[in-house]
Amino acid sequence: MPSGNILALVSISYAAFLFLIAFWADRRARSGRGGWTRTPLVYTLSLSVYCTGWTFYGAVGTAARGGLEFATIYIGPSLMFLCWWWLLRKLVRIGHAQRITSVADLLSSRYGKSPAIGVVVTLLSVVGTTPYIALQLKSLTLSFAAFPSEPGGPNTDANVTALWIAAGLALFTILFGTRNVDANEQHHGVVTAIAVEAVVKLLALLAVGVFVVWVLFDGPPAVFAAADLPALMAENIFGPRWVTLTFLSAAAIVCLPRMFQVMVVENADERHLATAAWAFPLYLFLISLFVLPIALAGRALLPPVSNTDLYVLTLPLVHGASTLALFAFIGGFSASTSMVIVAAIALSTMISNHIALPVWLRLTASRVQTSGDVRRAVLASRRIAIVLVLGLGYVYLLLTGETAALAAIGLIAFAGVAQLLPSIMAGLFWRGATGKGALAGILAGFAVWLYTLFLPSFEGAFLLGEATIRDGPAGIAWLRPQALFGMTGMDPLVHTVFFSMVLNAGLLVAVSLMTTPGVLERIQTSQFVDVFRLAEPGRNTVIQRSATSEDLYTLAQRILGTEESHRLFAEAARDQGKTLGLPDATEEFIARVERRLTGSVGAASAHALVSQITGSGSVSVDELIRMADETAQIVEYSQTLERQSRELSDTAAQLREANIRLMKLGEQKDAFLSQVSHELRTPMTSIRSFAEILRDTEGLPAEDRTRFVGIIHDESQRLTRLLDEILDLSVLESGRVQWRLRPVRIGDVVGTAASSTEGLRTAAGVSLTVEQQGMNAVVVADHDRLAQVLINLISNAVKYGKAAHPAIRIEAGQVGGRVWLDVSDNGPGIGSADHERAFEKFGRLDEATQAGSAGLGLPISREIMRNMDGDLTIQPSDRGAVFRLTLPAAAAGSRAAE
Amino acid sequence: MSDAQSDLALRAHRRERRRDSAIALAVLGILLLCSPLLDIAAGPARLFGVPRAVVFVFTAWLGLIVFAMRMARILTRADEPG
Repeated sequence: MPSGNILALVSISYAAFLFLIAFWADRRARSGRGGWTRTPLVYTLSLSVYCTGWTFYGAVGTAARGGLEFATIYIGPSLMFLCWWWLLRKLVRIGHAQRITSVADLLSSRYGKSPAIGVVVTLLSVVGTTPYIALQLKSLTLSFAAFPSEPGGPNTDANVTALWIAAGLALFTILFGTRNVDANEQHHGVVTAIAVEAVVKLLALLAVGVFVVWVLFDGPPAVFAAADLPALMAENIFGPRWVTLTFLSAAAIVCLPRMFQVMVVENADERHLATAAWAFPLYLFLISLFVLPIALAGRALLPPVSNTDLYVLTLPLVHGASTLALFAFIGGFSASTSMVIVAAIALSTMISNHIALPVWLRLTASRVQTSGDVRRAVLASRRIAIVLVLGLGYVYLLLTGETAALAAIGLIAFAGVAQLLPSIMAGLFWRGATGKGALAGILAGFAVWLYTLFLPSFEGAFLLGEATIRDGPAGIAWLRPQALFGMTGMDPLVHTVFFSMVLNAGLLVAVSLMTTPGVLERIQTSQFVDVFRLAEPGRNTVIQRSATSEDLYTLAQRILGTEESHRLFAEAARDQGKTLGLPDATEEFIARVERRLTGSVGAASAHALVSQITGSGSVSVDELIRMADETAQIVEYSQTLERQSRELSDTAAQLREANIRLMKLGEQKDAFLSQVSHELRTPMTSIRSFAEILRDTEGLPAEDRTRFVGIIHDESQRLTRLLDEILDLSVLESGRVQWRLRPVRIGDVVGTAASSTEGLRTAAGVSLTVEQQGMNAVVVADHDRLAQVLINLISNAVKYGKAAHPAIRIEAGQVGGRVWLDVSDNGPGIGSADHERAFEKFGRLDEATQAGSAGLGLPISREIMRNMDGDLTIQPSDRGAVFRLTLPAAAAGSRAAE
Repeated sequence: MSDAQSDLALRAHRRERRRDSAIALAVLGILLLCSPLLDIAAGPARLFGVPRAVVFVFTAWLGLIVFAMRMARILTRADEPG
């Protein structure tokens, strides 16, 4: 029989062995060879820290009392791991992305990095974990006591044993948990040691199970036939308690500080979850496989007074298998110590990060701080916290004494930490959840738990007296802690879970709906709720990379549009030598995408967007401020650009108009010049040819010579006239002419014109009739210029008014303030379609009316008339051309200068 | 739609289906191990000398583990193009 001393020796040796393993793993990890310590297997085994001394000893006790009910504690986590893809994976992803260090950090970070939530969750975790640590101390103490003490040896008190155990565990935890302040709070050594312990406790329980079923009995049917367990044969096993226990144990996987520590904080690779998803439930399955047989065997073979919680130890002991009993003892020792170590590490991290460090920083805010300072403070606070946590557990054990069964204490702890579940779930999936809502829910649920379950667990020894627990505070029956609102007959645990969860979730929802989150909280919300949309960690496996590429594609598509981003990605894939699918998300490609996005959204935003996708960090407040700055600058800049572009487009329109005008003028000028040269060419040609005849022809008759010289003279005159006209027109158009406007009697001007053209008319045999009736009208005009117009009109009429008896007729009259004067002939007239063309420079009328050139006479005449505030038009007529001059009449009384 | 674009659409569909089947597995687990279905198996009847409820719970549990194992493979398998 192993004595107490041997047990102590074995325990210490085993602890030393674990210490060596942890030390070795830490060394390997530090030298970068710790690859195998971070495998899915080690991760899964480290999760088994869920199975504590309570599992090892207490599960059999529960089974011996309540049959299958013990299985709920393992079914809950198994069901939770079935949800790994959309729940645990999200949790782990967030843990990596936000560098979460504890469950308190998770909630604080999600709800706007709220220090208050961090403190509250830390306190709740400490209070909730204390019974659990007490439970481990108790199971260790019990297991020590199960072995008979050596006759004559020191008969140690159980409480002293517990104190020694607590001190030893504190030392171990301090040695390994607080050797360094890791940036990511990972403890390679501890995790490896726990994985080893996981194997030991599983093997120990399986060994005891095999021993019981196949050595003590003859296979499972024999075991199940050996004892009568009414609970196992009940018609109803499903009920409120079953649901509550399953729910609590499922919640514990996420909420228990130690579970969060190993599952999220110590997780090295998200893909390990995929293995743990089935391997951890399998571990739980195996560890619970022999629980019922052991319980039934204990019932059948051991006296009814023996502690059901210790069947695992006592069955081998009683049947002489002392080595197996020792192995079972080591298994239980492993289960308890691993839980205490991890829980103490998790709690000490929380206490130092959320309580001690903020206080210390505030106290020393005035002093200059070096990084070493903080590091020392962190380590010191963690060590103190570990001692504190174990001390609290020990005190709880002393207070509860011998009364509570292991399972009851464990469930109290579960119900306490489960108060975090609503806030965690809402934080992961509900955008609307706010920090105030979470705080209200947690505090209310925690208060209900304290009042209805935790304090009554002391059975009157602490704060709540026995009378209060029985009759309610001051005898108020409906406030009885275990029967709120008179709800009696309910299982105390179900009662607590129901009221605390309803109040917790209810307040969370109600307060969240009534409050508005701050800026940081909103940012954190999307960082948590949208973690899969924002980030795919760029690990070097095909699936991870392709997922990242898809996300990059989605992002690019959102900003650049489908075609543009498709081209970008296809190009990159071609550059990488891939013919199908998306390009690999290499650093180079990510940088390429970022550069491309920079063009669209600015450098800061592009960087932030791409960083989110590639998981290389979250948006810091500084980055946000820079983004906001840049955005403001961009807005201002774009407004300036808009204004400038508006001005530019106005100017451009004006320029365009001016250009059109200039081009039109240029065209007119070109047309004019070509007309002019054509007009000049005709007389020049005839002058030259007649001059050549005169020069080259000998013995030209005198009359011919005279005729030819006459022609040359006439043509020269025509040329001169044409040039005069061109000059005249250009002078007129440029407005440089001096006008001598004065009252002029129409008759005088007509007289001047008639005498000037007398030779011409006589030569052509044209008669001129002047109607004397309107000739006394007086107009304001330049006499000479008006005469020039009339002469021009008369010459035209002489030239073009071809008729058998050509006749010109001039008449005048006055309508209102304007005087008109018509010059008409009896020629073929001008078709109405040609009226305007007649006034164009060198405008050609049809051949019948125009022999040779039209000249510039009519355009010049109209220009003159318009300059004198008058006009020259062609009157519609059916008996020859009628040109009408109009001019303003002179004011009454003014007489024409004679 | 080009080949590459329809490939993306197909992948999105597959991803959605994987997510849905992951949820379906969780629902099945709750149905088998935490629902009134348990009471069907409860009672004094025995299978191979073991109470029927025990056989049912442990069999369902193991079945779910096997399912979860296959599901984990599917969920983490790299989806090759085509």
